[in-house]
Amino acid sequence: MINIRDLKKNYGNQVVLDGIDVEIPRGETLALLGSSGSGKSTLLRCINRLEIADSGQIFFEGEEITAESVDRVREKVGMVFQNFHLFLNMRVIENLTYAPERVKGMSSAASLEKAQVLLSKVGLEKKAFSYPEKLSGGEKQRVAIARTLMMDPEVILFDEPTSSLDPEMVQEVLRVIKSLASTGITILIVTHEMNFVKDVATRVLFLDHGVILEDQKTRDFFEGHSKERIAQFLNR
Amino acid sequence: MLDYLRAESSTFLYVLGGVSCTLKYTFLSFIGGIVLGTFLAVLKVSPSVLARRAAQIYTSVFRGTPMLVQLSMIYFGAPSLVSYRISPLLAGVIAFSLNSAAYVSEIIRTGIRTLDRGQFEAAQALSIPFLLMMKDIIIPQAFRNVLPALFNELINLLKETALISFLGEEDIMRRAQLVSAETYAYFKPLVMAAFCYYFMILILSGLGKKLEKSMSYD
Repeated sequence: MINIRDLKKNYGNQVVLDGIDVEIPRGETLALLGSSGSGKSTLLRCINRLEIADSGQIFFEGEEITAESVDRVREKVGMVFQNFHLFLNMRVIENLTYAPERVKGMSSAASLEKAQVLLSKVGLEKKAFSYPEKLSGGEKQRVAIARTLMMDPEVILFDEPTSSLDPEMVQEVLRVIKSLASTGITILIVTHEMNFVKDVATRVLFLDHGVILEDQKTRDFFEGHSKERIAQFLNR
Repeated sequence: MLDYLRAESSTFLYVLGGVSCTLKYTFLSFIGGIVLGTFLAVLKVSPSVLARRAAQIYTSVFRGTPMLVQLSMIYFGAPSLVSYRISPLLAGVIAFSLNSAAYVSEIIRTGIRTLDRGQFEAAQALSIPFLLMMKDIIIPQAFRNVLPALFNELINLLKETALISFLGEEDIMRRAQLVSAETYAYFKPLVMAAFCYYFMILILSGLGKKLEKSMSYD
């Protein structure tokens, strides 16, 4: 479904991605691990062109993602950010309905109904008319997930979705992501929540200094590691 | 004594009568400045290099030349070239709007720049087109951030409209000058004019603070 070939990206003299090759089939829950600066967030952001790679190619269902094709791809590839990025001038319900109505041409009745269903799915139907500033971090992130789901994405990219949350709110967000994974949607997630990765991810990609150091099924990844760098990371 | 007060108060009322003229120029020009200034601000943050450059040149020219020169060019200069007549109202509103837009565009551009990059990225990730994103997400938030600065611009504009007296329009300033010319007393009518301007600006400042409070998201 997503095919990445020899992807390279530098920030000035700093090499961030140094030849990434990976194929991600439909329905996979792929966890991207690695210490900060290993390139995992950049890799995620290259997929929907929030970052533009210096060289290499990314294909989504056989079509190369370029400046021209990116809007079509973005309609099918949702993204959830570390800091939520809800539209602050819109109420929760408007955050959800805006893009489906304006980008996909959905009728307002249909989008409202869908938004209410999704809000109740993430347990926030009572917050429909609140502004984002009035929500807790966990609530904001659940709204952000619902907003992404409004577009019926085939893939969701999660960029450290729980890293800005207070510990007690992490679980409520992870629960939502876990239930999504069970629906068969393709998920790419950058996270530091190892228990979640063990529990939910089907495959782990370990990045170090811009290269893939390990690409394994989750169970294999966590069973005793010969690579010192990864053992070090897991035991920290 | 009574006669003196009566004379002074009728002079004051005459000067005060210029308020409507001053306000007319101020508000029409402010609307013009906001509309054009917002458009310029969007150009300044657009992906097109050409659009950004054009908006920068505009601002540079209108900030870099005196208001009185701009007003004179529109009222006296341009009509003499292409032989048409322009009313003081139209010339004044055009000149003040064009000038104000240069400042407003910088204010709004700053408002856009102070927004979290994430607002743009979230919109991009949802494939919301640039102009829609600007209109519905970025500009409304930018406005809210720069409301005090925009009120400052409104106050500046109100004071600058005194230049319209130069074209013979009977605003506060012109009326004070007329009284001076007739009575050979310069100080008192100008104090009255200053009082009128100051009082209007106090009211505007109060309104600005109220509006700022009412625009919080809750």
